[in-house]
Amino acid sequence: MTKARTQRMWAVLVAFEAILALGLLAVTLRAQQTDRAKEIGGKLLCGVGTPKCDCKQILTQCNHVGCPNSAGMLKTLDAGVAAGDPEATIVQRFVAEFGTAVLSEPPRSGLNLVAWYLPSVTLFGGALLVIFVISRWRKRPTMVPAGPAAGSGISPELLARARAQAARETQD
Amino acid sequence: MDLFGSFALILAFICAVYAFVGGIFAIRTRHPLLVKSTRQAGIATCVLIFLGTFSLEYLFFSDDFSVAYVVAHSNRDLSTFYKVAALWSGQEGSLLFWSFLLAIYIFSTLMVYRNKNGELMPYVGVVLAGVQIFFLTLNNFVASPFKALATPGAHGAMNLVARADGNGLNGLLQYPEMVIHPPNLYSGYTGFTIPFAFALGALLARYPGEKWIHLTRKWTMIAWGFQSAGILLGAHWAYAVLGWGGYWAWDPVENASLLPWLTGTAFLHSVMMQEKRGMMKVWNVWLVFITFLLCITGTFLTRSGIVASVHAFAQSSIGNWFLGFICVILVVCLVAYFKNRDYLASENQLDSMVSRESSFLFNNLILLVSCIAVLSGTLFPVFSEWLSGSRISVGAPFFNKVNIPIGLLLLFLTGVGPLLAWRKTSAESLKRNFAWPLAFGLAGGVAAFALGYRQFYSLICLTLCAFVAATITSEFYRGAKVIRARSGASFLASGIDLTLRNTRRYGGYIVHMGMVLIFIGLAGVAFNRDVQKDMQPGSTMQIGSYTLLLQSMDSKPEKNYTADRMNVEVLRNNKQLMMLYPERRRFNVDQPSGTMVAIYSTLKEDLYVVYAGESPDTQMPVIHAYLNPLVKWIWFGGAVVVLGTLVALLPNRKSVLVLSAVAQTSPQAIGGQQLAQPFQPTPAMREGHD
Repeated sequence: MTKARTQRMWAVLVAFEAILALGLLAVTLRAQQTDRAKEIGGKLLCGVGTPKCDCKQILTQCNHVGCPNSAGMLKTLDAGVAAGDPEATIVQRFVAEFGTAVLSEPPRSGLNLVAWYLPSVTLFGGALLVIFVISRWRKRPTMVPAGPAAGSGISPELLARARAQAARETQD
Repeated sequence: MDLFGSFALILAFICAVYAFVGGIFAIRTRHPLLVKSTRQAGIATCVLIFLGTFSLEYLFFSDDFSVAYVVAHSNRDLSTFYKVAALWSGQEGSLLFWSFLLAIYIFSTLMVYRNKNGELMPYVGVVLAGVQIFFLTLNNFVASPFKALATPGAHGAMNLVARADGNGLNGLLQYPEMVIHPPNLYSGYTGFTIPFAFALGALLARYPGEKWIHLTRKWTMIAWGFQSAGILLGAHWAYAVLGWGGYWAWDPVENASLLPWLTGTAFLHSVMMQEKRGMMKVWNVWLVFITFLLCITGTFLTRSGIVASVHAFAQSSIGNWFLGFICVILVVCLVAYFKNRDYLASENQLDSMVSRESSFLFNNLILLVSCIAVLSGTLFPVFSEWLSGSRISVGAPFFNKVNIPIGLLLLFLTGVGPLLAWRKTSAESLKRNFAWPLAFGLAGGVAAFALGYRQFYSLICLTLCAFVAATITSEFYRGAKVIRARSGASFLASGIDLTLRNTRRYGGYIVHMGMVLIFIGLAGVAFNRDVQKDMQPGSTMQIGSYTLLLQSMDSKPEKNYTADRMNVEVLRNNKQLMMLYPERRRFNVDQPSGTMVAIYSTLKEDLYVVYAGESPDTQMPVIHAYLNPLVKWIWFGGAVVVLGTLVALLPNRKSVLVLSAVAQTSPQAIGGQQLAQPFQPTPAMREGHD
């Protein structure tokens, strides 16, 4: 094999690999773009407050037959993603057009923090309350019936035996 | 027949008023004849409501298009099956259907207890009659389904008219599940009226002991079972019909159905504390009150238009009536509680932080927090607009972020609870009970990781599912082992015997197992994939390991609609697997068109294919295909939950004769101790423990 022929072969191989790599890159970018569009679209609602339709579904999940909003909104979203705009810019574009109601979850600021923190505050507050209640109950003096099981005629020995048997056979 | 129906409902209203007012007098005077006549008035109310409801159904079946409600929700071509469902497809009919289901419950209650619990039943009857008066007021004076179709005539008179045909039933409702989902859900909502009436009645009557709990336990379980089935059927309908690839969108109406389910679940657990230990009496009474209030609140949300929902009925002033009713109930409950709260004093105390009682307390806390999270998220847009003037949305991403950790905590407690003993659990017992389930849970987590389920919450969820499944299995295993050792029967027979001996306990475990299966299904959501593509006959698309080939398209005329159908061949590894036929339905009457999803479902994943219409750019048909892992587990789990509920409703086959055996033992055998009277185990003792 001559040197020139070897060089040609290498050139073809490199060119082939470059085309393959570019192709793969394009596919990957396309996939990333689609994933990114889906991710951003998941933070937006379709057709909020517009007179034509108020379906309020997640933009990328809108299944409203003949929805007058979703096609246009998705085009805007895809254009923003294709142009490489940051997520905040794309989202802001929708907020400017439709207001904050277009966001699928409340922004984490101002009064909206109540919605975000109420469940965790309730959970931790409630947990503390339950622990407090249990501790208080445990400190209460125990009510012990006077004498052998007052009035029932059953001796403590019999009751203890019955309890032991019940405990054993009910696996507790 | 419309006049007959109207007349029956008016009479029902009059009877209900008599049952209510006469019932109050009967309680005050204790006159036996008055007590009897008010009870019979209650029964007559129910019978008249049945007649009113059957009249409306008759109008649908006879295509009587002189009645406005029939015109709005039916047409001649509508199949018989859906003419039944047309009853509850609109505001007026669904309210009558509510009264109908409530009447079934009340009729059954009044008949079952007609000669029992003489002290309590007059109070219960008054509360039930009060609830019926509210709904009959709506049926008669606010949203009557028997209004005749009329047009304005001369001098302000109305001319009665009849149409040749009706507008037809909403296309989205023409699906088999829509015939069974609303009755299930409404049976849940209305069923919670019975425990509410017993709780309020017992409080007002200062009825001694836990008897009201025993009396209402099965009613609560029936309502809870219907509510669970209704929620799951609704989710399946959304999945199979709406075509967005999911089953739960956290829509306000979906949330409204979940709220009473959460508090009802909490009640079903905490009620055991009252039965076993005489504790949590205040809590239980309020849980029942809140559950009933949430049923009415959910209805208020759906019908007032206060929150935007794809499910909601047309906006109307009816919401004000519900709001008024909620206020009345709240005031009555508060007054009853403050006047009689000393009657609810706890008889016992907790012995240890690590006990079954504590686990129930935390279980209740988590269910209640979940309820608060869902309710506050649903109502927050309304409050935000009132307070700050700005409109915001609270959609699925918010609810998922908030509720997933809460759900996982609950799942964890589902596993821990049964392993803890009543009163106190020793360290030794903890080690013994937790070792295997924990090891199994960790092994499950590792297996899930190896299988590629590597999203954080999904992995935690699957690990916990394995842990809980192990705890439940170990409970069955240990019980069956004891019976097997005694009887020599097989493990399966011993397991069945065990379950039938204590249906409540083991039925409960079956329900828990169903919930585990549902959680396994929910864990798959994180791995959903979807692809959308413009297609023409002969073209293919790929999703996961499946290749979809659009063979052709056709139109299939049906009685009430025309289906535009895609004939899609599904291939896997170049081998034909099956044909799928996603379609769009165009209805003959003026109704929006709808989708019908085609699903190839396996335990591993669902291939979910939607005919998504024509592309506005290319005018070509569009296929939207989804690959949703583990969804089938949800529906399977739902069936197990219903099965477990049914088992728990069965009477115990025979008593656990532990204490009876001791009582029958001869005096010599217990050390010469003479028994003054035979030992009578309490009902709770006879049933074993839960």
